[in-house]
Amino acid sequence: MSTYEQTLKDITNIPKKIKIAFVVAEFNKEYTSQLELLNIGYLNKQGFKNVESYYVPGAFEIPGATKRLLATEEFDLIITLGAVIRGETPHFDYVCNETSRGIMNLTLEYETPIIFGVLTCNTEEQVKERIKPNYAISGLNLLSEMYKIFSM
Amino acid sequence: MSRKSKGKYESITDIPRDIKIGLVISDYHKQYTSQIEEFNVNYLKEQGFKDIEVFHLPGSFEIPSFVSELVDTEDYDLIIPIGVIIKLNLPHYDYICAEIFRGLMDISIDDETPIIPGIIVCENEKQVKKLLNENYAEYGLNFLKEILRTFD
Repeated sequence: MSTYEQTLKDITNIPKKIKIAFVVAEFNKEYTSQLELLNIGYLNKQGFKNVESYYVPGAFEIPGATKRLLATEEFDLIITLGAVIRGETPHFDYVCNETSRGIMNLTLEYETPIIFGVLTCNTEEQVKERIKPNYAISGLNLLSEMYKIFSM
Repeated sequence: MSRKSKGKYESITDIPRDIKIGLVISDYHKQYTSQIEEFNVNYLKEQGFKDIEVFHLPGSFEIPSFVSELVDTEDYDLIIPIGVIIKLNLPHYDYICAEIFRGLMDISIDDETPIIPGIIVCENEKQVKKLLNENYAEYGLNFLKEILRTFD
């Protein structure tokens, strides 16, 4: 059981007008849409209103779509959301492997902070326990720390 | 490494004390990472290194991209990432861990700044508690010393 909660740090160095994109996988939509609502709601509450969502069919399409968004250079923060649940076949392993690899490559290639919000779980229960606004909090914390390097 | 040694840099004490060291700490499981951070920062200070910059990230997945940005500033002589990952029984952590280490490896091959993999991966909290005095700073300094000895 994961009881981990992220806590928001001092993020006063982030302007409220920044543009934030969500890339949401619609596979297991009942969970990903909850994740999306919760995380967007959190950002709105913190005063970040410039938020857009983009939908892809499954987690495997997240890296490709994220790369296109990065190429526009319009976004200050990208949060990826997905829920992959193990089925009966090894398919799961390959999808998770490559999705993680794709996103890690993008984080190294681009300066824009990207949050890895793809849940890869054995059971639906494990997913349900993890429907939290943690990704929005992580994103803001990360962006705030990134600004420290860029301002040096 | 058996290139000619000029007799300098035989031990950590030969490393110039004005080098700049960056610590990149993951705040996930902060109760542990902050202890490891304190232990390592204290060690560096005792050794006489004063120019230490500490950054905090939401989780370990963000470490490679942040380290890559730090490397690009060309300000740092040694970068020490510190994170704790407790795998529970969730496939999520297999993918996260694989990509973090791959990301750090990619950077350490592409760039010259010494980077060490200060990320503890455990099955449970009991294992973590035994590792809170891991001296990544000493490990990093030994690596830096060897690089200076060989290439400087």
